[in-house]
Amino acid sequence: MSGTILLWGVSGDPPLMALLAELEARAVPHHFLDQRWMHQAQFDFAADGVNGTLSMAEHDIELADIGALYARPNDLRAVMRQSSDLVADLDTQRSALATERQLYAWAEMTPALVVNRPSAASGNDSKPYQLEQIHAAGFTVPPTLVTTSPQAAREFVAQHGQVVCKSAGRTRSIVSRLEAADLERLDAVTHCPTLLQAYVPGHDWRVHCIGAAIHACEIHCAADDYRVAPEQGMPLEIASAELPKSVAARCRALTRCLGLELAGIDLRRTGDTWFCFEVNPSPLFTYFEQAAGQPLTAAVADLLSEAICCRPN
Amino acid sequence: MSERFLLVLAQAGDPAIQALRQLLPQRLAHAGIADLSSSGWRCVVGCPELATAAAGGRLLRAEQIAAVWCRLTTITPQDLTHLHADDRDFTAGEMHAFLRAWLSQFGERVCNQPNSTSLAGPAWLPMRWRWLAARSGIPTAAAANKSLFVASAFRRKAAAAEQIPTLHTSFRLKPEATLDEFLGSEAVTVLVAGHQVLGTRDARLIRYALSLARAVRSTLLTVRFVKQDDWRFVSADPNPPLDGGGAAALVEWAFGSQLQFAAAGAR
Repeated sequence: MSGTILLWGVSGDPPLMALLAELEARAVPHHFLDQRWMHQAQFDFAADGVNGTLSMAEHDIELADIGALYARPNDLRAVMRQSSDLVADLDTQRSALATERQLYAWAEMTPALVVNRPSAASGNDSKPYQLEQIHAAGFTVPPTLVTTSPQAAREFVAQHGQVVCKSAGRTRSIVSRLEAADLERLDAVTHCPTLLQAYVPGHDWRVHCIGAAIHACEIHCAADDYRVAPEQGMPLEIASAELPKSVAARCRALTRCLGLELAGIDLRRTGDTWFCFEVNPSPLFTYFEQAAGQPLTAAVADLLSEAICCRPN
Repeated sequence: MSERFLLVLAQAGDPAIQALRQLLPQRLAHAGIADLSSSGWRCVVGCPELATAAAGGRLLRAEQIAAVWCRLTTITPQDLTHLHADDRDFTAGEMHAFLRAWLSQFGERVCNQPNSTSLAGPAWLPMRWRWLAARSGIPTAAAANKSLFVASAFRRKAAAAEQIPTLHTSFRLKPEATLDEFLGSEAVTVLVAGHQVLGTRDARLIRYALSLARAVRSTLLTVRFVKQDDWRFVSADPNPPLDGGGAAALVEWAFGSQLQFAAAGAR
């Protein structure tokens, strides 16, 4: 084995903590760049994307030694707000942001395996943009409109009957069907482009593509958004399940097409049709690991470890 | 077919609007950020032909939009002073997400493709541009940040300088300029605008600039070179200011042969 794995994110994050423990148990060389301490890091790299140094509090890492990067960074401004005891002054904050901006650039340039490259992951920051990508990759997507036109919104509702409204951007929103009172407020879409999507009945599936490995689970839940079902007092059951081969192949192809190494794909099956709603490039896989008993942390660790095993010395 | 427009998404007061309006008094449509809070914008996933825009009180259908130039790199809460303060953070994110999808639906009709870093072409660090240039076979100039002392002195002098002695003085000093360039080495800024390359007749520099523009799928790109032992890449800007020549080239790209009577009348 040559090289090392770099994990980049914030301490306490469940997937990162699970991966750290897994790599530790396997004695795989790795380093953790904790965003809470980003202000102490220094980053210097060459335009070849290979050579350079990442200096952290305790040690320096030669970038050429990094064979795999697991990137699950949070918004550094938010991290620093929460760690204001560590990063109090503005100059230090600016310095940390500048260092991280370099890290983002390097993550696009390095020949190391990056799970996932920021440019590929960013498609998820715009739901309608990602839906276009998913549609282009051959998956069926629900009819989706983003508009500031009350008339277009009303026509869409009239055409599709049941419609859900969700955030188009990064903000996590609870998906719910529009009700009569909501329909009376459609004039408000004028102020902000609003995403409306035809409601598709059926069973939800979550598929994790991790390199060539694929793990699917079926979600039994009557809520519009299963993620908040427990808070709404509704029963939720997540069970490991096997996808039809053709759908599994399409999930792999979609993941490749989006330039991702790791993806959490949200599907809904309606009769024989499989709709794809979203591809999460930074999935909270530990949640599904616990719920469905799938070895997802091990699969991600395999992917990263193989990258440093296979690279030339 | 109804009259077609060049749609520019830009802050009010952007000088590019004025430069283009001189050439296209009737066929330039300008949408500012406040226009994103007006009725008429539409993006239907999988149906780019149904896209619409609201620009200065005018509703434009997809087929009326000959080309789009987005000058807005992002939408920030500070841009949304026309909205309630509590709504600005969320709305800025939604507008940005909407525009990324909306612009992408216009494909090659957008002169600077949105990407993960910006709505107006790649907003990359200088290092990443140099990396791309090197991969494209273009010799690159060394960065000027080998010494903190030198870099710091350079920044101070650069901040004080209004312009640098390039072949094209209309372009302001960029922070990523190299020390060599600042100290007076011969330098040139080349503008790729549509089908034209302005600012040089050197076939190699034209080839280099076009190669970078194609790599980032941009129809509009300034590329700076400095003469060391040979011409070397310094920096690139996918969202440059435009003078009259650049504006004319952009208009010609947007309208093709249709333009000739319109722009000729305005020149």
